[in-house]
Amino acid sequence: MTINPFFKKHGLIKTGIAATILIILAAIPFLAEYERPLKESKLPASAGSFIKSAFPEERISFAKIEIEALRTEYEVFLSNGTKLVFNGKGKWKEIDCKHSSVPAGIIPEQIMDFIIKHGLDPSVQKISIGRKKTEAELSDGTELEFDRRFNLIGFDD
Amino acid sequence: MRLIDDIMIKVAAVTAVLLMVWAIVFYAAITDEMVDEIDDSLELTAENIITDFLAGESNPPQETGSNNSYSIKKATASLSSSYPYYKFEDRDIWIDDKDETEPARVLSMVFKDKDNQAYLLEVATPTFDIADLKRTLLLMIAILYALLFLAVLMTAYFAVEKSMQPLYSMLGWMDSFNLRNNNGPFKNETGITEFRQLIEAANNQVKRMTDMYERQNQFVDNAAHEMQTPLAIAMNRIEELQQNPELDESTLDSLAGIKAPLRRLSRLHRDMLNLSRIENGAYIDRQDINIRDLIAPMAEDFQDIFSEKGLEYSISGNRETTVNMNAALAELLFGNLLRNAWLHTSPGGKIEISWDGREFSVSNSGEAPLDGNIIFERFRHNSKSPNSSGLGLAICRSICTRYGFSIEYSYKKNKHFFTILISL
Repeated sequence: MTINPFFKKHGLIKTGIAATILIILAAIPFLAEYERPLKESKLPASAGSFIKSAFPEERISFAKIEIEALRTEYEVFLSNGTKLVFNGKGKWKEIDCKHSSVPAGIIPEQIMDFIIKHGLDPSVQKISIGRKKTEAELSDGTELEFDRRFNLIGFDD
Repeated sequence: MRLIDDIMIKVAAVTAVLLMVWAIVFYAAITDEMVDEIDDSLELTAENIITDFLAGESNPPQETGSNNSYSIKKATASLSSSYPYYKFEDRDIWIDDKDETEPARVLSMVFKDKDNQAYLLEVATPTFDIADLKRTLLLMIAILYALLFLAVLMTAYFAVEKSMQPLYSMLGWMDSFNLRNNNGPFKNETGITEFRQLIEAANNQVKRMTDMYERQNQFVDNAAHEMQTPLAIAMNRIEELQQNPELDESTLDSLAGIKAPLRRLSRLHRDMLNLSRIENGAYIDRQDINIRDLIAPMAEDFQDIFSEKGLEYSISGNRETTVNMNAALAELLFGNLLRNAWLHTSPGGKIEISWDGREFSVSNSGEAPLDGNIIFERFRHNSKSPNSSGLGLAICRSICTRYGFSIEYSYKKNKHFFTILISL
């Protein structure tokens, strides 16, 4: 049993099996995604203070955290039915005031300017900031799409 | 176990495990994804309901188009204390339309309105179609598993079978190989390096063996000739001298003393030649030899030669019994046994030769048992008897080994027994 290359190859097979199992085990955290309810106090501080300043009248009705492989998000429902989405750092990504309008103070200036300049309905119902574009939905159903430099790239009424 | 079986068992084991891991992961991932889709749908519905409810808008009808049903009620004290609450679960729900319960996926959440009143929202969707899907998926995976497993095994089998072809044809060649009728080097045009090396090594080895065998045969034959001649001349000269009437008694004694060892040397030499030829596989041709026809004249001759000992002998056995072997070897084997018997029995002793079926035995009276372990070894003879070379029994054993016979010695009732078991 001194020189037998086949013995080494058995080792290879075992290593292969072990590697496969390891990869699967290692992949589990990435595949796993979950969401759970969150107490108000557990929200990122910046998110909490943003809510207090932008919606001083409202209470938090419900909040939850969504954890995915490469992304964490907070979803907050306010007592007037507004839904807010924050990223992992507590910066807002989406505000959906289905039954009211987004407070003017938090709409990016360039968008507000655009709306006024073009004489559109100034009450914004939903605004979301993505990585590549920002979308705004007006109360009359008009949808506006801007790129990162706030050039209009999409318009749908 | 054949090589291919061994390989197939290992391939099957590894494949089975790997495929099993794959199947489990795949099934888990797909079902997980299905549940995820349902959960997403429940979540969206719940969001719409909550935002509408909080804004004071009228809620959608209890049965929505999305198959989801929901209920909102003020939360009990215990539920309120569990705020915030958000949970997906599988449980049976009551379906009014069908008047029975159905398994369903339910999202329950507790939220609060402006006045800090807690509400419990439950959104549910039946999952019988999910169960169906899972069952189908499981069946599909099982079928796929079996097909993949078979495919891998068949592929491996054919690959190995094909790759090992040179090995099997070489084994066949080795089986049929024979030094005496050498059927030439092994020829196989294979591109596989290992097999090329193996074939080359085997061919080299065979060539070396054949050369050696031929050289040895030649040497033995030559040596036989070259040594036998001077021995014969020496013996002749001594016999001539013995005829000389001028020699006195003491010179004749000396001559006899020279002649005896010379004769022994000649015999020793002949036996060695025989032994080496037998062991090298000479004497190939075989024939049926009648034992009685072979034995009876030999016995008579020995009785004549050793007549002064006054031995008694008997032969008993079926007249028709034959043994299939080389005639010269048969003569050598039985001759040696008989010669031993006549040579070593003390005067007035008895010799019995008998055979029965496969068993042939020669017995002669003797005072003490011999050492059965060594008497068949070369030169383990009683050095007191000048006429034995010490190779007789070694030759017998060689011949027996050659034909697959067994030869044994035993000592019973003051008799030495040499027994051969003849294999048919």
